[in-house]
Amino acid sequence: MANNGTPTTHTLPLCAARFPTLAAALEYASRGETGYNFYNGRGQLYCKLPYSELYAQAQQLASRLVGLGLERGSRMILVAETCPDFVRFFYACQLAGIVPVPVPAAVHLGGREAYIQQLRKLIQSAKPELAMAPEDYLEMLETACEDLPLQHVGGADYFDQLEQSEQTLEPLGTEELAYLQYTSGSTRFPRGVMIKQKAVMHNLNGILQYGQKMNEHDRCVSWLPYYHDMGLVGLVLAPMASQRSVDYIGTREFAMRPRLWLNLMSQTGGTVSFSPPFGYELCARRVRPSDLERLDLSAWRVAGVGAETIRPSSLSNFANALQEAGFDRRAFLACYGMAETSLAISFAPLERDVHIEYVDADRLGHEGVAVSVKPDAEDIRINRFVRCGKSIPDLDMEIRDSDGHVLPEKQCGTIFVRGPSVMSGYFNEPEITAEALSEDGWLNTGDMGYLVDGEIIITGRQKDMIIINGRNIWPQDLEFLAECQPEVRPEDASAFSVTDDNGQEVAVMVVQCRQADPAVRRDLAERLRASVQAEVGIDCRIDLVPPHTLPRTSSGKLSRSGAKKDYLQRLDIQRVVADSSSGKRVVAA
Amino acid sequence: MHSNTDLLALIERELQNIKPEIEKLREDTDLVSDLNLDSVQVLEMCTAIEDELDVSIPVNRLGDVRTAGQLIAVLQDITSE
Repeated sequence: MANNGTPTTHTLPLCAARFPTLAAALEYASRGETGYNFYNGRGQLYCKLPYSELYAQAQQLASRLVGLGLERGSRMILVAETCPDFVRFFYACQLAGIVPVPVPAAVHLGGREAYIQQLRKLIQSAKPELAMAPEDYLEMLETACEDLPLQHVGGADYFDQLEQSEQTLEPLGTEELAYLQYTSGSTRFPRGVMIKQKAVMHNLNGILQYGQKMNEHDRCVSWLPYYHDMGLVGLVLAPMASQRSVDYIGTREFAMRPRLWLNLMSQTGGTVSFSPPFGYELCARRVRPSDLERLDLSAWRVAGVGAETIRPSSLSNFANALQEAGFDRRAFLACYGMAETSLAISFAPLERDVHIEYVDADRLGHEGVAVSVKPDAEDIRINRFVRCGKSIPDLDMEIRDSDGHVLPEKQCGTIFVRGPSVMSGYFNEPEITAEALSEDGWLNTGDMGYLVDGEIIITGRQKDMIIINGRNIWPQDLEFLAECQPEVRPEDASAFSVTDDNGQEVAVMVVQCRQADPAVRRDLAERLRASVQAEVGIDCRIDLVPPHTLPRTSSGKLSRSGAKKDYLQRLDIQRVVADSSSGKRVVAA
Repeated sequence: MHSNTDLLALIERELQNIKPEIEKLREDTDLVSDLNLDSVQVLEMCTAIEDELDVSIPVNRLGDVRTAGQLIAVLQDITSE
């Protein structure tokens, strides 16, 4: 069944991450036959790496790293392309007492300089002694490291030629860090989430035992990036910590040929896979009628979905498109989590179709209360939200108002979380840590939501975060690009996202402009759009407005939500004008 | 071997499949700022070109590409290897 990859089942008893450390989990997994499998852009298996072999290779590499005589807990940057070298280095770090720091492996068209700058920012934040990149990225990594005090920067072969040490390996212990995760924070101001071994092991147990209920017949498939918390913790660490096999395709390969994911699920009899809603949407759009006869997705038991606000329609499009191929919509597993809690906070119950809440949008917007309405209610605006389940064991969840009072069910506020999976803080950022994490251990997630029957409903993620195609984009990064233009002053730009007529998120930046000449204005708008394209890789609508237009909060800060409201109003007025001049009847939205 | 004109026509055709409003493409057309492609559309274009020419475009080569002409140069380079 598994086209010569590692087997799905073996005789080693399943243990759901009940280990003190990742190193102990790998040692146990190495006693079985399962492992990681890597497929190329044509869907062909090019490397099979059983945990037994991976453990042996990681031990050998670890003894070379130990030979460098670094201080315990030193960091190693790993440019996290989906490839065998990444996992080998990640686990070698675990065994050698070095903290791995996975960083993005993704260059946009014309984005070489921007990528190098991004790497450099990450390196300056993580202060590593070592850095490794796969061949395609090595030259860019070297440029990014120029003049920075790293001891060794190289490709995998460079580290493989180091002298082995005779010393006994002392893996990272349960109170030490497991890794630094740079998912959170903007490109300009990166934040390294510090996750201890005991935190990630707690979270893995919650994911495996409570969320997915991993069993002896499970097999995972993933295209998620290794530098993202869901990709790393959910689909690299969780399968290993439960001794299951995984089949990987690269993220770029998936984005180029989304149907590869479905082919692989079908080919290997995959039962567990996760994706942001965007991945399901992409597949639903690309699937061809001839695929349906060929694909068998009936084994797919857990189709996890998280990482951005879940739009019910993107899931139903996927389920409808692939029903004929045996996909069962009850496989959808809505979940909620973030790098700051290792990964998972809550899971919806298994084998339940996505549970949708229909609430009165106006009352939610104005009063912050979730009033249920009939799905087909007329004359009112309806918000549709997906229930994301109860928190995993030992994680407490609270909804608080802006004064810090705990709110009852069905009242919307900021989500707070406390428990053993929570991070120890942001690396070298005591002030930002103190803002997010209280002394009594409560993490302010920055997300908005409410509870109903103990289940969490997310109404908006990270205040102000822009999410395009599953990627988190910080408005600060877009605004900074605007301020780099000579005509634009600090606090002249405000970025946010709006939903377009097709239900897609689009980025918008409102920029105050002092120029009246239409040619100059057009030129500025084009330059801004191009610079966002090159640096961030997204299309961004630019809206030029006169000075002093951008609204401010009572404390004098620019208000992005206010700017968005004004923008939508301007858009509505334009529409009314356009529609009335074209003789169309205007229908109120 | 493909001529630059052939490759330009190929890129233009594939781009029009992705974004029908795209008109004439020139070698100095900036794929990023003139056409406003997002990263998923860029990959879609790469896929179509890879399939058509039966090549694989290395990820690190795209970081230096801004214009259609630069993309053609990369394609000439990898098809002649």
